[in-house]
Amino acid sequence: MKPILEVENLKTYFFTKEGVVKAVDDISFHINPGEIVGLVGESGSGKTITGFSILGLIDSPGKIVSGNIKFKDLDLQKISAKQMQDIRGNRIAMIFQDPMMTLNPVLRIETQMIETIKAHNKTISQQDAYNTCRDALGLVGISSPDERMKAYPHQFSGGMRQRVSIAIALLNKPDLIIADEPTTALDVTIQGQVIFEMQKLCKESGTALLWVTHDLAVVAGITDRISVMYAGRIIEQGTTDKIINQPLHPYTQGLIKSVPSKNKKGEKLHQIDGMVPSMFSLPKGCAFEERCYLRSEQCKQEQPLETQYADGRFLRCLNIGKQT
Amino acid sequence: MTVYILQRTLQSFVVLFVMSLIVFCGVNLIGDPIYMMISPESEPAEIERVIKEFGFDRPVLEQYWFFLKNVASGDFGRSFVQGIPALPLILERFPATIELAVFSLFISLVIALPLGVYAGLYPERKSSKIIMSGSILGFSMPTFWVGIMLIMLFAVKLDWLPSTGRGELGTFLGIESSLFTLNGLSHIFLPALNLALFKLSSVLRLTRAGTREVILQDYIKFARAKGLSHSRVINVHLLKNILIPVVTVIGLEFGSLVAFSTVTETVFAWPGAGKLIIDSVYNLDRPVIVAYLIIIVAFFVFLNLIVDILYSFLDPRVRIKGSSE
Amino acid sequence: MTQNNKYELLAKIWSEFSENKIAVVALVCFSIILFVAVFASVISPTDPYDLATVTIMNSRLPPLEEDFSGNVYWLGTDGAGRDMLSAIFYGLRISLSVGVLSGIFALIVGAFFGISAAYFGGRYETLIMRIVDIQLSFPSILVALIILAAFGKGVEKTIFALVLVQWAYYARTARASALVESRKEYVDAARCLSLGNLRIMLNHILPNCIPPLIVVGTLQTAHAISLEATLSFLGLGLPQTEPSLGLLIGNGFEYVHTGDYWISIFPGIALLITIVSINLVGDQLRDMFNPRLKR
Repeated sequence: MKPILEVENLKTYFFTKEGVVKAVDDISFHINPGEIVGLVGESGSGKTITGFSILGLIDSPGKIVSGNIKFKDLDLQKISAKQMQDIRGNRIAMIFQDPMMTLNPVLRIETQMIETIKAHNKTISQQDAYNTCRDALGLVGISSPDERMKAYPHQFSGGMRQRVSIAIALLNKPDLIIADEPTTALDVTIQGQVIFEMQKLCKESGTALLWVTHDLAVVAGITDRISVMYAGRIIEQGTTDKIINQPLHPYTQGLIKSVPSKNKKGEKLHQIDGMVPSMFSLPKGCAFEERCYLRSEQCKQEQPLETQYADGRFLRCLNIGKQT
Repeated sequence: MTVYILQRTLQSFVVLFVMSLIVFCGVNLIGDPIYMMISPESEPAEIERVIKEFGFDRPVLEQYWFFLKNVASGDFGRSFVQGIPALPLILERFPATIELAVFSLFISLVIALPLGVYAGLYPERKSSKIIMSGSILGFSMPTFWVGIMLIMLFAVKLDWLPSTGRGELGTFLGIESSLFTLNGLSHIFLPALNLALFKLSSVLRLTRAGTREVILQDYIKFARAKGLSHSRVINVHLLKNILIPVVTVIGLEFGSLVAFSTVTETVFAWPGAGKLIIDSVYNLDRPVIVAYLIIIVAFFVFLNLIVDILYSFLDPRVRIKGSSE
Repeated sequence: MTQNNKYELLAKIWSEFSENKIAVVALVCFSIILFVAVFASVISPTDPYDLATVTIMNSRLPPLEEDFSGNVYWLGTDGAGRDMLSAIFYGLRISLSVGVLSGIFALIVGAFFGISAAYFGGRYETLIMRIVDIQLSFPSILVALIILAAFGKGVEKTIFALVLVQWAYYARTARASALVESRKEYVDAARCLSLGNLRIMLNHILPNCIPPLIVVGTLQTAHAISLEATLSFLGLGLPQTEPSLGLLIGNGFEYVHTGDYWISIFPGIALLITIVSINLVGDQLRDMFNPRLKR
């Protein structure tokens, strides 16, 4: 199967007064049609920037320095601004993290939905566009959608707003949705519903999903494959089953141990020692070296390269060979 | 809430009372009050009669009471120059002033909004820096001098536009205004531009600050992620959000435009209320001066009262908070 | 504080100020203007108000024109035959004196009410601040207009009107900084030592209010100069015997339709440079004293 999205050696840097921030540094991954891929990492690890890079939404002082982003047969780095605009919200849609901030407070829900359709379909009638939007609201579980179309965002709760953004993302039946922590800002009870619905809708329409999150527990249940990011790099990627049940990278292992679960009741929750290094002054060697229980002299000096293992997973670690 | 409105209303009356006292003192105690009623060239017997009739030989407090009573009933006396009652004379001039203020507000918005958005979107560009330095210059330039320069350039040197007076009136939707005729527009353009410059800098700075704040918001990025065109993101998503604070501030400062139109009206001989007061000061037309001062203060007190009450409805914090934080 | 420390502090302030080159240029401009204003009678080519030398024969000569006796008028002459350059030098002196004088009076009045309001608090503070609020809700030109229209024009009345317009800004600024200061422990300590209220306010609270007052002072002085020019132009401010820049422009306004541009343009440019340079210096001072903008 041919991947729908291929990211190769993407580097997105921010050139600030204080120095260069390598927010995304040489990452590669792909997504197959209809597949759900998780991109996991702590805040500041570059996962949101990855999403923005794909959609060409990096603003100054940020810049994509090098790498290829291939969507179907298009090289997103080479196409014109107009072509990119046609893809955004149409072939690739995005859902943002904070539902309270993503909808424009001074525009009706109706306006914000219909404009999304009209931006990509100039010939559609107002009535048809309206009907599509109303049906989309119904689809994401908003009751009496006709009334809700006339409302303003502040009349909605956080969960409802996130459903509206999901509905907007689904409007043009995209091939890929980038969901940036779509459930983080929601109550736990609503989280489950939203996750379930997203999964269902994507399965039904064959939409691929890139699920960006810091919460390993959330992606474990729904994704096919997982990429783990640390300090701007992907340090491990593989099928969800392998990553969750047999994590190889010490950081992934730490992440999985620190997920609270029933059988560890009463025990102290695991935590990874140390802090994420400052993005302004990343070490010369492996960024995780200081916190790693496998660290060696070599790690300080050498940047681990991405290597493929027999079970199909990719890993960036100098010491894993020794362990197995 | 009711207590707040009552308090504010009471305060407004106190302000009006104090102002009437100041105006009374200024005009009646420092100048010679008799000449407020009668020309100084009159016969001594006539002057004597007026002093008796209006009670200028009575105690000061009684005179003030007399003055208040007249003012409350809208009787400010007759203009020495025009011979007609002062109150209608002034009220008749207000439409011209309001028309000038409204049109200049319009001009300042048309110029300042696009420039402010531009400077906010591209703060690093050289053109934006020029716009911002220009706004400091605009902020510093004395209105009357800019008016003179406008007349010199556009009326005298280039001879494009008339420099004095108000043009023909036209009627539209039952409103009579010089904005509805070509001749009228040509007359109002220079004075309105002059008055607009006074507000332009502040609107520009406000718009720029608003743009820089809004552009960073998630909903703007989300609008772009939906694949909307650049112009739609700017003209709908950005602009609608900036307009709210800009319009609020402009509404609040409409009064200051009316006050400053005094200067512009004098430079361009615009027949509004501001020109009338300056002319009256020249001619020592005291009834008109007194009437104008009382009316304009009442206008401002009323305007501030309404704005305060509206604000307290919009922002509950105002009601709890004391005076000046 | 030792002498040495004082120099160091001054050097530090200067190095911060000179970071903004435009502000330095503005400061130089203002220094030149100040010099011209102070020594107007020495450096002026002629005495524009000496009736013996001014003749109506020379009226409305354009710039760089020579009269019969071979005197060159760099900026031309006005309707009465006065040399414009000299008139501007003298006008600067009058404009600056009125602006600065009213600024100083307003600062004293405003600082007194602002600091005492913060210090005593209670109903007194509420009353003062309410008056400040009410006054600030009126445009400055309106307040000045009311005073001058009611009381008539004149130097003292103009200064009085300008003080009345400005004092509220100083009062609000002084109160805000005094409020922070008067809650500090050393003020309580001073009260416990039963030092006089006036002494505490003067020696302990006032010095801490000085920096923000200086910032407000520069910007307000520029505003006062502009307002005085406007009022004088309208014929409400200074009398003809005290020809400030505003009056000069007003006199030139009579000739605007005849194309004698120099009579109103040059005094206006002098006024503009004065106001802009003070504003730019004030802007830089504000940025320096504003802790939020500190990097």
